[in-house]
Parts: sequence; C-alpha cells; structure tokens
Amino acid sequence: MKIALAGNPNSGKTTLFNSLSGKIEHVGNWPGVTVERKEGRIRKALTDRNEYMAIVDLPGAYSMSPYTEEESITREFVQTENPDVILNVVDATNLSRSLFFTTQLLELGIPVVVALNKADLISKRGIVLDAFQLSERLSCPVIETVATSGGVGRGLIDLVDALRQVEGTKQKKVLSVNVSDAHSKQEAVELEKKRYEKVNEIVASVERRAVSSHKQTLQDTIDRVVAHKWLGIPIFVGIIYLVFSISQAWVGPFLADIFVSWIDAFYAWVEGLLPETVSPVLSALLLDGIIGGVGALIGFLPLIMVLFFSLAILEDVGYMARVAVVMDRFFKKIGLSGKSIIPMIVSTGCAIPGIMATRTIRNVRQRRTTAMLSPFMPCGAKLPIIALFSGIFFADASWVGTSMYLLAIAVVIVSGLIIRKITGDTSQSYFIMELPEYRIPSIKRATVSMLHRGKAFIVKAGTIILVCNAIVHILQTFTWDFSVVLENAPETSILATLASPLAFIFIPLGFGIWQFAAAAVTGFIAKENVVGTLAVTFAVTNFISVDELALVADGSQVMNVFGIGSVAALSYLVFNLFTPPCFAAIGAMNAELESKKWLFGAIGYQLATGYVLSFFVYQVGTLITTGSLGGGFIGGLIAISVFAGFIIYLINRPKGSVILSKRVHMEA
Amino acid sequence: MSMRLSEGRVNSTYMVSKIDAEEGGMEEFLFTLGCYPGEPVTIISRLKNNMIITVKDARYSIDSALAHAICV
Amino acid sequence: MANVIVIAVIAGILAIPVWKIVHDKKRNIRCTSCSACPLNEGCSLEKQK
Repeated sequence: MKIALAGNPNSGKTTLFNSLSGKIEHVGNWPGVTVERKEGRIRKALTDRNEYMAIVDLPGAYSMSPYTEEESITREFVQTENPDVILNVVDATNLSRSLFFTTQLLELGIPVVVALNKADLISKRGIVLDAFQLSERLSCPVIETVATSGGVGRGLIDLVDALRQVEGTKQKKVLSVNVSDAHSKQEAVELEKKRYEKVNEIVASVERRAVSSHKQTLQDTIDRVVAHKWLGIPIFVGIIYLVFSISQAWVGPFLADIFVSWIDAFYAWVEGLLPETVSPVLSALLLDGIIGGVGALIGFLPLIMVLFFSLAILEDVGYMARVAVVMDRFFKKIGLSGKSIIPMIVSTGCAIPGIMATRTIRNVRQRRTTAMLSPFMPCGAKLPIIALFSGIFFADASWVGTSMYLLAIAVVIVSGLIIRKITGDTSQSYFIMELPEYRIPSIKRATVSMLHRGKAFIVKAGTIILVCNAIVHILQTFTWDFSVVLENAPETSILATLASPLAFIFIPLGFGIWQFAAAAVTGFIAKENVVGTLAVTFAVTNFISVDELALVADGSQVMNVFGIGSVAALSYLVFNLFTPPCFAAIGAMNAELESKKWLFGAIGYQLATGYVLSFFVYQVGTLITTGSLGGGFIGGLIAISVFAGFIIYLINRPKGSVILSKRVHMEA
Repeated sequence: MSMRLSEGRVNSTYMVSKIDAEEGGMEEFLFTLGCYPGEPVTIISRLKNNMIITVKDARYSIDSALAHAICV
Repeated sequence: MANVIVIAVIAGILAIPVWKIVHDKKRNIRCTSCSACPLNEGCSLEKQK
C-alpha cells in the first residue's frame, strides 16, 4: 500500500511523516522546508506484523495547479505514481484555505484521508471544529492529529486505521465542479471560484471562531519589532551573536574541555599500548595522523552540537521566516527575491541542499545566481574552522563567528549586484511568504536534530577526514625518494614540495606557509579537512585546551607554533569560508546551474572572492595593527586588478549573447 | 477609481477588485491562497518595504510591488 | 612483529572509511549532511543526471 502525504506548506506534513515512519527528516517552522519527495514506511508500532505501508512525503502545495515547482512535483506524483491513498494534511487552524486543495484531491478518484493536524492549537485559539460533520461533508475520514506530540502521537493509530479502511475504495467527489470541462481560462476561473464558495460554505458549517484571524495578536506585535525596518537587522545580529556566545564562549568550551580530555586519554592509552619496537613512522601515523587528526576535529563536536541545538531552536520558533522578510529588502536591490533567501538559510546547514533548493526559483537568472551565491553562507563544515581560529587567535570571541555570517550576507549582496550587472537581466519578482506562527520551541526536537547532525559530523570525521589525514600524514613523512623526512628539514617532504608553490600565491594574504596551503587544498575535498590537516601538519592534536599550549596568554607563542599572527589568521579564515565549499557542492552546482559556462564562472568567482576578501583583511588589518602594509602587497594588488578588470569587461560587453543563451535554455 | 493595497491603512479590511500582476502565474498563485476579486484582505502591519496581510486565516508577508499589484 | 600488527591495525582503521566512501560513491551520495538537508532520505542527488 502506497500513501502520498499532501498538504499546504507548513501544515506539518514532514512532522507527521516522521511520527508515522519513525524517521528523523529535517523539519522547520517555516514554509518550503521540503523541496523533494521523501519515502519511508510506516513504523511497525503502528502497523500489523506483515503489513507494508509505504509513505511518501511531498513538498507543500496550495493547489493542484503547477504554479510552483513544489506543486509540480506533488501533482506529477499524484497523477503518475497512483498512490493507493492520499493522506491530506490539513492545518486545522486554517481550514478555509486548506480545504481548497483538499477538494481538488478529492476529485482524483483516489481515496483521501484528512489528517486535521495542529489539533492542539484549535482550542487555544478559541476555534471549535466539528470534525465529524467535516468528514460527512467531504465524504472521507477526518482524523484529528497532533504530529508534534511525543510518543506515538495523538491520533496516529486512528489515522493508520482509516488509511487501511479506505484502501481500494473509490473516492466520492464533493463538488460538481469539473475544471477540465472548462472551455476557456475565464470559465476555469469561474469554476474554481465555485470551489471556494463550496469550501466557504463547508467551513461556515463546521467551524466557529471566537477570535477573528483579522484581529491583531501578540504575534503581530512581535513581528512588528522583529521585522522592523531599523530594528530587524540589529536583532538578527544580536541573535546570531548570542548563538555564538552560547556555543563558543559559554557552554561549548566547558563541554569541549571535558570531551577533549577523553580524547587525550585515548591517545595516551593507545600510545601506551604500542611496544617500543614499533617503527616511529608507523606509530606517528597511527597516533598523530589518524588519532590526532580526527581527534582535533572531533574535539569541536561539543561546540558544534551546542550551535546546532541553538539553530534548531531558532528554526523551530519560526524566526527564520522573519529573517527572510528582513533580508528581502536587500535582496530586492540585487534583483533576487525572497525565494532566494530560503536556499541561503538552508545553506547555513549544508550548501548542497541549499543549492538544490534553488530549483523552486522559476526565473533562470535568479535561480543560477542563488545557486552560485548560497555556498558563501557558513555551512556546518565551516564551523569547526571558525571555532578553531576564534579559539586559538581570538580567545573564543563570539564576534568572529557573528562577523563571518554578516560578511557572508554582505558578500552575497555585493555579488548579486555584480552578477546582475554581468547578465544585464534586471527582472524582478514579487515576494510573498507565509508567516508561520511563533511557537514554543521543542527541546526534544532540537535535541534530536542536534544528535542527528552530531552523528553526521562524527561519520564524516571518521571517514573522509580520517582517510585524508592519513594521506596527508604519509605525504609529509616521506620525501620524493621515499625516505623518511629528516627532523630538521620538514620542507623536503612530498606534501611540502607540492604545497609550496601554492603557498607563494598566498604570500599577499599573509599565510604563505606550505602547511596552510596544503590545508586550504584538502579543504576543497571537505571543509573539515582544514582543521584535520592543520592538526597533522603542525602536529597539534588539541585545539581546544589551548591553555595547555600556552597560546592564549602570549601572542608571540602562537606565532611560534603557526608562524602567523591574528590578522593573517583572520585572513586565512576568510579565505576558507569564501572559496568554493567542497567538491560535493560543486557537483550540486553543476547539476542545478545546467550550464558549464555558469559553473566555471561560479567556481572562478568564488575563488576570486575568497582571494580578494582575504587580501583586504590581511593588508588592511596589517596596516591598522602595524602601521605598514603586509608582505606581497604589489603582487596581490596585480592579481586583484586582473579579477576586477575581467569583471568590468564582463559587465561592459554587449549583452546580446547572454540573452540569446537564456532563450535557448528556456526552450530546451 | 481603483485603489492599490499598498495605499491601504493598517487594521483595515479591503475587498480585492483586481489582480494586476506583471509576473505570469502570480494571479493564479494568489488565487490558490484565496486572494482573488471579491475576497477580503486585511492589512496587519506595514514594515519598511513589506506589509503583513491576512488572507483567509493565514498571515503573509508581501513586498510593496505585490501590494501595488493588488487592486482593492 | 609489532610492526606487522600495527600495520594491520592501521590498514583495518583505514579499510572501514574507504569502504564507506566507495559504498556512498556507488549510491551516488556525495554529501553526508543528510540531517541538515531538506531533501533528505535517499538523497535525490542520485536521481539526477
């Protein structure tokens, strides 16, 4: 039996899907979290022993008409995959809109079961609903559910029963409206209006509202402050600062200290196990390459998990939709719409889904621009790098992480403007976004999300990062003639000789040191590698308890270990955050941009952005702190002039070819 | 003389008379939300370039361009 | 002798992640941040060209 889960955006489909299937899919209290269908099966606790009930979660849709990409996916699935039952998730607090879609689903002939979700909110809002009568009027079962409640979830057993009962039956239509009979668009609209009339009539007979939804509420007052024209941005900055304070200055380091002591104990334990007869090359590979490298990254796990937890809470409250409203103003100016903000917010978790979420943007130029710019947002993999540098060079200052988010937004806006100038496309889109209700965040949901992401972090550290660290360690242990590198000549290793030419390019950025160059390169495989590679190449296996290294107390000692000061460290951080995120993200960009020209343009642009920003951070920072420019200024300036010149050329060249290629794309 | 929603006052309810959107498909999309001629729209608040409106029982944030496209 | 054991241990430690990476590659899973992902389970990356 195959069940399709369909309903309006933010009606709680994915939450219900999770409760039904026992899966832990990403949910957020803002519309548009699901952009592709997801499949699962109803968990055993809810089904009979040998029963197989497959369930497919579809993106939210307001109707069966394919206005949006999400709706097309939903429509296509329902029409071609022939689900046995449609489980229509209806937001009980918004019947008058939801039932429009419901009545369309009822016409497909496939049996429908309505889950009247958010049933707990109805009484709170002084709404009285007659579910029995609604069921009669729609001629389909209507079950009240509270998908967010813990355990089995209210109404879930009844729901599964109802699904079972209707299987194989034919759904009765409730409306005589048949839009396919319409001869003209005008006629179709008239028929659809009849549908609304019918819906209004049903709602009027089953629902009593004590408070009209047109009245101002506390929520509206909060919105007026949070999305205020002047206050919106400072509030956003304050919240991000708070998140970083909690995760990197208050709770995070405390937990990390405990955690790191365990890693150190493990390191010492393994070291003790190795007999003295073991070759030093092998023991170093095992201890410093594998355990040390992965351990250095894993040491950040507590910090990252606290951060994930805080972000999950923010998302659950419903704040993200307000961020979109605040940002829309700036995005308007660069020709992007509110739809572009969603991929950016998603990218703060991981750029890959962020890039893929751009699929819902209809305008080609806007879609490509968004896919190209989303990776600038600091994703989960970049967080350990931020934590590393703010911990070692800036004494866990929360402003480092906060400023990276703000810088990312600024880069996105400036870049959007440049791309608009290059393409010459000045089209604009309207912005409309449903504002979900604020709600008390669920500690449980945030915890589950945090544990899940923490697990993904460990898996990545234990797989791709571990292998890369081992390779890096081997490459720095041997010279080209496969003899072991001498203690006093680390620059003769394979790794050093490979990375040194690159390091030369980085001199104007302040970190022309082969270890940093190597870490930047491994960072393209996965950003977490930056931390791992630095740990391996500098043989520092503990970045958390920096006090033990006596790094914080005396800046010069930091210089002794890493060979760079805090200005260059900030420059290096910026470089890693604003160059292309990783190969996987580039793969996703390739799929979504659908154009090699745009792909290479995007990669080139991202590399140039990282370089230019890093150059300015280092040179200006050095000028401020020492009164003179940093090394390699002229060389860097020449490189930047070349980038700038190329972009100016692209902006000023005739635009005909771009428009032509766009038209070809749209026809294809 | 038709007025635009963008000129409307906060806390007032208006009847939609026409959707005058340039972007194709927008009119249809608004329709699926329940925002079409003859239906009421309430302005909840006005932020810099956006306004928050109520259509049916849901809150939406729309930009001034879209507010201008809704004739009331 | 001790060297052989340590080599075996290192090979063992490396074998698991290498297997996992190859396995994910075959399933065309290019990203491991599934839990942060709105696309999620089964990752539609594999459904793309």
